[in-house]
Amino acid sequence: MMSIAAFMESVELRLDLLRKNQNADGGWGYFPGKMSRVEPTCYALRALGAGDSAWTNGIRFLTACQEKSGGLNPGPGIPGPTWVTQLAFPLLKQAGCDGKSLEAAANWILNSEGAEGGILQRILHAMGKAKVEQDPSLKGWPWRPDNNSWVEPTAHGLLALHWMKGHAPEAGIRYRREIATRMVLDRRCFDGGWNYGNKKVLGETLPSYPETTALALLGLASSGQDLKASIERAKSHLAASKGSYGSALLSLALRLHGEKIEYQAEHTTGHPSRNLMLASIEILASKSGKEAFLP
Amino acid sequence: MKRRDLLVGAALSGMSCSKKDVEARVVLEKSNVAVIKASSYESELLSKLEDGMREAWPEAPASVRDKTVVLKPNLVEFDQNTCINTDPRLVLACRELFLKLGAKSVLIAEGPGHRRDTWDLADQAGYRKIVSDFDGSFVDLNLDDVQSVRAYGNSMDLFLPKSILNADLVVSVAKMKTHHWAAATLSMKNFFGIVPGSIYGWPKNLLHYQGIDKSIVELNRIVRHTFAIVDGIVAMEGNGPIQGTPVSAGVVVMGKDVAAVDSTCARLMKLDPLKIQYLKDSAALRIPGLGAIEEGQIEQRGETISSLSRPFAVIDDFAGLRLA
Repeated sequence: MMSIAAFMESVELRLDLLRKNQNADGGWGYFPGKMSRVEPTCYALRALGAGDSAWTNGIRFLTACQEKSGGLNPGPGIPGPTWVTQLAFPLLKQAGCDGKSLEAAANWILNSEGAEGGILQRILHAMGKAKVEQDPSLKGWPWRPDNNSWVEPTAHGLLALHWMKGHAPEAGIRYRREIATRMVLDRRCFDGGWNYGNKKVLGETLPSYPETTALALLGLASSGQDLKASIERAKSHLAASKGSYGSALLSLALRLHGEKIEYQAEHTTGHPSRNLMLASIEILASKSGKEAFLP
Repeated sequence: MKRRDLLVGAALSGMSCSKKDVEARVVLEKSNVAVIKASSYESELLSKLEDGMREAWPEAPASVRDKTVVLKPNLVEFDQNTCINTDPRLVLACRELFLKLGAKSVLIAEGPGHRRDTWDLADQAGYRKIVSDFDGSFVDLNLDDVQSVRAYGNSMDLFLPKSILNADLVVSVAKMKTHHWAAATLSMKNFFGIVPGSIYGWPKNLLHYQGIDKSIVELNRIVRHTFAIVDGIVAMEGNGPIQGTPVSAGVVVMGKDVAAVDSTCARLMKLDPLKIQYLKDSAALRIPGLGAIEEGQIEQRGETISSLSRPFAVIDDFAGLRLA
């Protein structure tokens, strides 16, 4: 067991890494010296919190990535809105961005959905001949427009819906929450956890992964669903997890579901990869509760 | 001057050859592929690779000197004791090979399609333990800075990692495996790992939407500064690329023409490369150095195919690919 001093030092080292590596445009790259992207910036801002001196510039970077459609692109020079809009929306809301921007982002999220459910897919599903076992009528969110729904962007879509009150029609929020929740549950693996978005392909059952199980549970926080089997699976993943990313996300997700979990970073002096997004998630896993993800 | 240069030079100097003739003759020139017998990862792997390189690419010492080389293994799962990943000992031997050839730097880079924590994946798969300076030489292609290139018939911008686009040579250090969508995953399919997940997600849905075979060919059309080394020492048959079973094929296949290397691998697996869609499509492009898939177009060196070939089990969808 790590001492409290060592634990604090481990968190402080990671906070220091983030503060030292904020780019001039206000964002963070995935690694020190790399170009800013929305995803690591969102996690860094969550880890540092609204009180940190880096916050304002970080939010400025996010708003600069918002396009006319209301969605955010992945980063400068990479045009086209994507799933990172869901990841950023709660932060834009927390930062008190102007109503029109929030409304446009909320509208983009509500109108973005998976591309599955075409007529051929539905016929094959009805005949039991689809290559993947899933209900194609249940749509969540894709990584990019015109792609199928996957667990991670859908989890962040579900979390974003919690922050939309007053910026989008209640009926639309409710509808997307219901269908996307059912989609995530439909894609759950037979072992109780989640793979990236399928449970059975070509007749072979797929195993769940630690990180995707954690992300699905994050998305299903406050959903009112019976998730006992999934929480047990998440705990067993955590006990056996081989990667810091999966372990940190699992600790975070389990805490959101009321489990008493203390995250202890494997690399106390910082992960050797110097991955800034991972550092942020490890900070969140060490100290945060619901407030980082839910209003 | 190489034979190819002579052919092109002769034709362009007006020696009664049309442009069409030049293209046909350039494409018809044989591609060297070395088949190396290697029954284990333990014994003299580096010297075997050196032998293979002399056969497959005699000009390598001059071509590689002072260049930046990126090794692209196939890294899929955490487990060190599986045949899913390119074995770290082969990757280490490849690194030593290119350093001995005089490369300025040799990076190892991968962007897995099913796992996000690439660095820990490489660590747990045994790469960090075996590769000195791993922390300074490993690149997560899923999270790398990107640059756009026009792709898919000029219909879209495709964002690819700068570490790949800026490298002088990208070496596909692939695993020899059957594949439930593409029949076989070898050096060409291995380039799915250069498509960044941070832009296209996990798995890399774009590639499936565009078509797996089409995407394999397109990535290899875009990234042309390549060499292939396929790890068939312990390969995978059946429902690959993840849920198949290990098979000791005892072979490493090397060459500059990735399609020629993959065609040779297919023959070693007793599969007909002329029936594998992405190999047919790459041959149809008629790009010099990419697409020699017929036996007569390949200068087979090292071991003979017949001495090392063995039938790989495939799923029913690909039963028609079997060679007699």
